[in-house]
Amino acid sequence: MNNFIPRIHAWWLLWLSVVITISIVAASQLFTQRISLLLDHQAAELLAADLLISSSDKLPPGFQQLAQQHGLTTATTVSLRTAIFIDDEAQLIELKAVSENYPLRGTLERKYSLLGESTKIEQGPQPGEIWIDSKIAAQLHKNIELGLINLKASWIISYEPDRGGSLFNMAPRILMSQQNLQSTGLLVAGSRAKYHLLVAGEQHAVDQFALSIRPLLEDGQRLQTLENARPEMRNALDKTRKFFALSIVLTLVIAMIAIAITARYSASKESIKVAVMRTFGISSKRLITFYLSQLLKVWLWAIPAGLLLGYLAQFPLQWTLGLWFGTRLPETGYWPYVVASLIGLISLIGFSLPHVLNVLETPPMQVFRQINQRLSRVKSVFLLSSSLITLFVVLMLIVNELQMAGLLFVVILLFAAFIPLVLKLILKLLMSFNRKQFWLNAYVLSRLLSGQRNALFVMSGFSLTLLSVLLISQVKDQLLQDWEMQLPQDKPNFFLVNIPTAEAKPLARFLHSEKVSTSVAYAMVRTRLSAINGVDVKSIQFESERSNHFKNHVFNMSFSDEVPADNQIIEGDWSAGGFSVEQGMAQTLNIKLGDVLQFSVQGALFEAVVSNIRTVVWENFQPNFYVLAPRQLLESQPQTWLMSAFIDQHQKTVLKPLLQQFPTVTLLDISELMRRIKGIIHSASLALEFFFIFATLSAIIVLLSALNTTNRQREMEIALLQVVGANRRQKLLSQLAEFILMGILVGVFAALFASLTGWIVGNMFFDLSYTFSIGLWVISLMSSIVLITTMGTLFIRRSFSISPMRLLRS
Amino acid sequence: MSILELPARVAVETKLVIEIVSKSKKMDDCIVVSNLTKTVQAPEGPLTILQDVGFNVKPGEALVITGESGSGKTTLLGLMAGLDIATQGEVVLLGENLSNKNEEQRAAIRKGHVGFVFQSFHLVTGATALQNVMLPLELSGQQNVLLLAEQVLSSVGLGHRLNTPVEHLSGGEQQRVAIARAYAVEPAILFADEPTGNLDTRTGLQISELLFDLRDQAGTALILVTHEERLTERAERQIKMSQGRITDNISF
Repeated sequence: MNNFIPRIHAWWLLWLSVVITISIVAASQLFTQRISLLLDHQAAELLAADLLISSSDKLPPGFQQLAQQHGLTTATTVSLRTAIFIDDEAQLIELKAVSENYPLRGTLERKYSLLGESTKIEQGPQPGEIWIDSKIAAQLHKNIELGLINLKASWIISYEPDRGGSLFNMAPRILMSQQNLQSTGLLVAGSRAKYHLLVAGEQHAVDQFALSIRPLLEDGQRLQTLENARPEMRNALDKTRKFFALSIVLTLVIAMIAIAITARYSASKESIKVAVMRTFGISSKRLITFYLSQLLKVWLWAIPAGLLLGYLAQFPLQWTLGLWFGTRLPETGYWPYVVASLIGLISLIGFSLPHVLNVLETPPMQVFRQINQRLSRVKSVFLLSSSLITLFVVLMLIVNELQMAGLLFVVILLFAAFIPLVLKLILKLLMSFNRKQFWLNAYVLSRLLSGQRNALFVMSGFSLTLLSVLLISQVKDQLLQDWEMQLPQDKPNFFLVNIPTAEAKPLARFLHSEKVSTSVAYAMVRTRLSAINGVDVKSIQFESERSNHFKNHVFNMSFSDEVPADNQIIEGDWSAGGFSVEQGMAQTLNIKLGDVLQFSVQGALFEAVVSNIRTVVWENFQPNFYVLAPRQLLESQPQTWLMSAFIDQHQKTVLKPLLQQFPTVTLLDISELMRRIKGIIHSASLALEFFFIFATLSAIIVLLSALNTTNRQREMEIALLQVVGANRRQKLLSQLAEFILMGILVGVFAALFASLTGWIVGNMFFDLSYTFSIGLWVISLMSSIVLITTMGTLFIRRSFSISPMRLLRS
Repeated sequence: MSILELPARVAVETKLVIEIVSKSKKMDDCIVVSNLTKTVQAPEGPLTILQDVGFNVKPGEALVITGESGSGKTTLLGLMAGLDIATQGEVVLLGENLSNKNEEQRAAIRKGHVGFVFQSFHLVTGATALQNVMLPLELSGQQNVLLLAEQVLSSVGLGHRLNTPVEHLSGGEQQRVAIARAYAVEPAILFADEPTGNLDTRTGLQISELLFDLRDQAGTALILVTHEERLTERAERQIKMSQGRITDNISF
């Protein structure tokens, strides 16, 4: 007996599975909450704060005091339009005066010359200096007259986090210290200035402040959140969150399988004990109470270990991400620990209790005589449904989104019902080809078909485990890659806006002669949405706060004869000649096909019906529009033109002659924005690596649990083979052949379902095209065969020297 | 159905078995047990299960080992079959001394010469009755395995249940499959450990009759461990055991 691998006690194995589940949930909740908060902070850069209050009038000092009472830090900015004189010509500029601690979130970036390198800086301009937009780069290092004073333009602004709004409407920016604002004399009664109060701090304090400030806001004072952020950034952040949610769920599914397998094992180990107690006349009620208390003890003992592991597991990620973002991850509350403990309890009870109840209902004689009765249909349905209900509850707790939880649930349901059935059919079919010979093929098949081994259950568990690992890997690699592919190197990095109609063609010719690739030129007409189906839009109440963006802002409309590249008509007909509305805007404002939209351009109204709804890939950095109108409606309206261009590093010398020849054209460098979005993708990818490692480790634990549960049966089979005359080589061959066959079947099923699920998830949730890869099949098959065979062989290595006396004694 | 009622085809095969087994009959004794002692480490210290046991078994002899629970009879059976090794003394099985052989060498001696029938049947679940009988034949590299297995199963009265998965058979039928599997390789010695222990009286009686009938036909030595005195009726010798020692060695 000393030769045997020390066998882990069934209850310990169950405890270990619960520890793993709690630690996975705790770690992933801590990861995601902290990363989510970090991403929020990244997103908050778009406001340069967590929350923003804006007003056309000076904000009451009480607001700032209230924020400080909530333990929040504050900053203020004042923006106004004014004119400066460049070469005796007036140039409209956006002046922004910032307080000392601006920005509260994100960093400013500035450069000393137009073609120089950008450097990050935590604070805005010092008193006495101004920073200017690259559009007026010619004024760099010169004194600029701002009202009553002259200030030196010492830096070019290369990144201003809260620039916000549309990229194409802004006059050149000048950034200055608020301390100099009063002395400019520009801010007088009646000035059309915008006052902002920026607020930042811990999430709960920000939420509390938002609750307290809302009732105090008067007309013209507005609370701004990320809803108004740039759509391309918002999309990037939304996708990242979904990637995380999916990865956590998949990792968790593996942990659930571990609990399910060990729960079944633990219950079966208890069957003799229960049968003996039943023969002594102990009631079911007393036994259920006993086992419930045992399960609760397992849970209580698993909590400290699980939470500690989860807490420790987040550190490597925190450290790595900290390096990436150059900042500490924000702190989170106790909620992740509570959720992790709860999920541990729900999983333990949900997966174990049905098995315990099944054992309690099995007649003791069946147990004593080792009659392996097949479960009745009612019991099978009960066991399956309780496991699935548990899984669904856990999924909902984690994903918090019915559609995604539903899809994952259906996939798992398919697995639970479909995989064992198909596996059984395949094994039986293979068995039918081996009628004339039993050893070795049919023997191995009979082992997998044997009810005593639960091999079908274990193989389905393995398949689901491997599927989850493959999916995480797929999400990590292919989907992220696809996403990044939408931002290839040669995508436009400059927008040329405010192009007068007369200059559109000469400008295109100029760029063409300089070998700069450009997009089609689009007309831009500044419009305001005034009515939907004849009802004034301001009087309509919408659910989403984002509707304010469309109700209150001027935005650009264009026309196009063709459906723009990367746009897709999802409803209606492009050729019908009405308005073409972006899907997100249509959803926010409840716009449907056939609705009549009315817009105003400089006071003049025009209207048309909505003839189609369109999706837009905001992150492709092409000129994109919420609304495209029929050509005849817009052609006569006052308009400028827009085009995008890709100007390579070595082509940047073209910028100076361009600005000289076309002085009214405004040049927008969007490469920094693109770099930031790529940064988000990379950090998401890095975090997903950790989930992949976690999932792989969990998968190995599932494999070990499953091997442990079948080990005793394997030992008996090896001993039996020995008794009927098998030598060591034959015994080893029987096990190797079984592991390899298991590996093949598991690998094929996992790859098949990973491809299908990847395709569905990619299309439904991430708007990404999923390509089937032969590499996935190779990896799935190889990893499955190698892992199962290696670990299986290692696990049963010592069983070969077991004395067949065990057969006599069993 | 007993082997005496077998069709002519099966009787020919049984004759074949008798010829092969006759080799072992040429030996004076197929098993020689001398001064056998087995001690195991129990939590409270060394525990002697068998003490100074010695006897011989002749080829074709039917020996029944009886005794109360814990008397050491199953341990003795295991040591005789080379399934375990003794602390002291020696077992000579079919002319080979098992005490200086490792498990692999002992398995090679058993292969094709020794059959086992267990109380708990120990069949390969998920496989049919036929496949269970085919297994030892294929492992020992025999030809016409399918035909032989069918014939042996028919000889134990399961010709109509050949392709039934063993878990769908009754206890008595499962034990018949186990007996057919043991006899399929035409062993010189058959070890049976409480073969009727898991069966009702009537089925148990049928199984013991079958074991002795096959032994009579094939001339196989039968070593049967049981606590049922009625099984001694057709035996040629009975060894009674108590507390690890032989208390009686009676020839009938």
